[in-house]
Amino acid sequence: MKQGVFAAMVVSLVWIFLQNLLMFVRPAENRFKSMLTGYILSLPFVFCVYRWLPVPGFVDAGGASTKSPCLGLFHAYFFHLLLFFCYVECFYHIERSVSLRLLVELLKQGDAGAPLREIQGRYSVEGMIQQRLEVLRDRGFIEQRNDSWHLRFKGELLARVTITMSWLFQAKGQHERR
Amino acid sequence: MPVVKGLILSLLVFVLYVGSTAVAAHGLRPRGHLRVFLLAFLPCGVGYFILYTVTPRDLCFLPPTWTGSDQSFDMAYGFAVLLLNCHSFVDYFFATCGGFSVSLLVAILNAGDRPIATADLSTKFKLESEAESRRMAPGVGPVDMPAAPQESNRIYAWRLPYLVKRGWIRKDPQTDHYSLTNTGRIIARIVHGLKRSMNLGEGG
Repeated sequence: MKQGVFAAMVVSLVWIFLQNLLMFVRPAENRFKSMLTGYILSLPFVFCVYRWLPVPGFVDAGGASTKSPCLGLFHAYFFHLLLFFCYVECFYHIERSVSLRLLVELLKQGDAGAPLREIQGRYSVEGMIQQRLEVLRDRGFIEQRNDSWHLRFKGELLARVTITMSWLFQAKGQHERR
Repeated sequence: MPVVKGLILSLLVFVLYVGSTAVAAHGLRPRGHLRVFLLAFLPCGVGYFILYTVTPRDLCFLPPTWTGSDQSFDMAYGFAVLLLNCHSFVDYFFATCGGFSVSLLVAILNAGDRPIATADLSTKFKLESEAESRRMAPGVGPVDMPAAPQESNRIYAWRLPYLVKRGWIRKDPQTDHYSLTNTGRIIARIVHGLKRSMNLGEGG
């Protein structure tokens, strides 16, 4: 099992590092797609690392190798998948967060800060909406017909799941908050 | 000793975690869910360790081949899986129920057959009345002064007091300027550095 967890961590670290490095050489328009591609391409390496890379002594101090190699490989792939989810989530925390973007905008203003009018001039709600609608359209969630927005299947499914989740957890969307 | 015991128990506790947060949300109807998720994780995390300690090594059904020799590692692995699963769940929750993009999808869905243009969607993020746009935030004062009508939207109106309350930004009462606190500056620098290291644009 230790071998599997070790393989998952090594391969995840390497592919995430390489993928970010690649973004400097050839930036991807669709980062999710590039992350997914990176993950899929890394899958064979999980097996290779699990099978052939020796586990360092400090990791295998207890000699905890499993009696079932298939189970060890299962742990490797499962943990690799969980680390992929975690990476994608952290990525979107950083990339999409409005609050963090606000902090960065204020950082650029220095110690004096800025009135909200100025911040909003650089980062307006209309701009946020427009940018997101374009991304949603490009990803196939919505489409625009006669200046009106319509949901496509993927978008409707996500909206309905969200409504169910909102009911289940008694949550309000951003358009309902006060 | 069981190798998959930690994993099985962690998945079981994760299901209980999701269920208990849903029940708690119905009972408490919280304005912010992060506290509920964090508070619910504490008993679940402790419960996982207790469960691991009191249950039999093979959980009464695991075959002998699915065994190893390091129980503490298995326990730690199960906890790591629990942490990652809970993180994914909370993140999924905030991406959907609290996400800006998804709220646009819901707004379009709620519009039904009525045509909805970009301007209509922008209107949905504006606070309807003058009274609503002049809300008072505890410890912060008036969020939206008459001199600042641009604050009367749903994105900034709750977010700014929230960031002030968390101690990340402050508002100068004389100049009405917002600036970063020391904590906010550290977070902003880390985020800025991470964005640069991933070759991201301004984002948000």
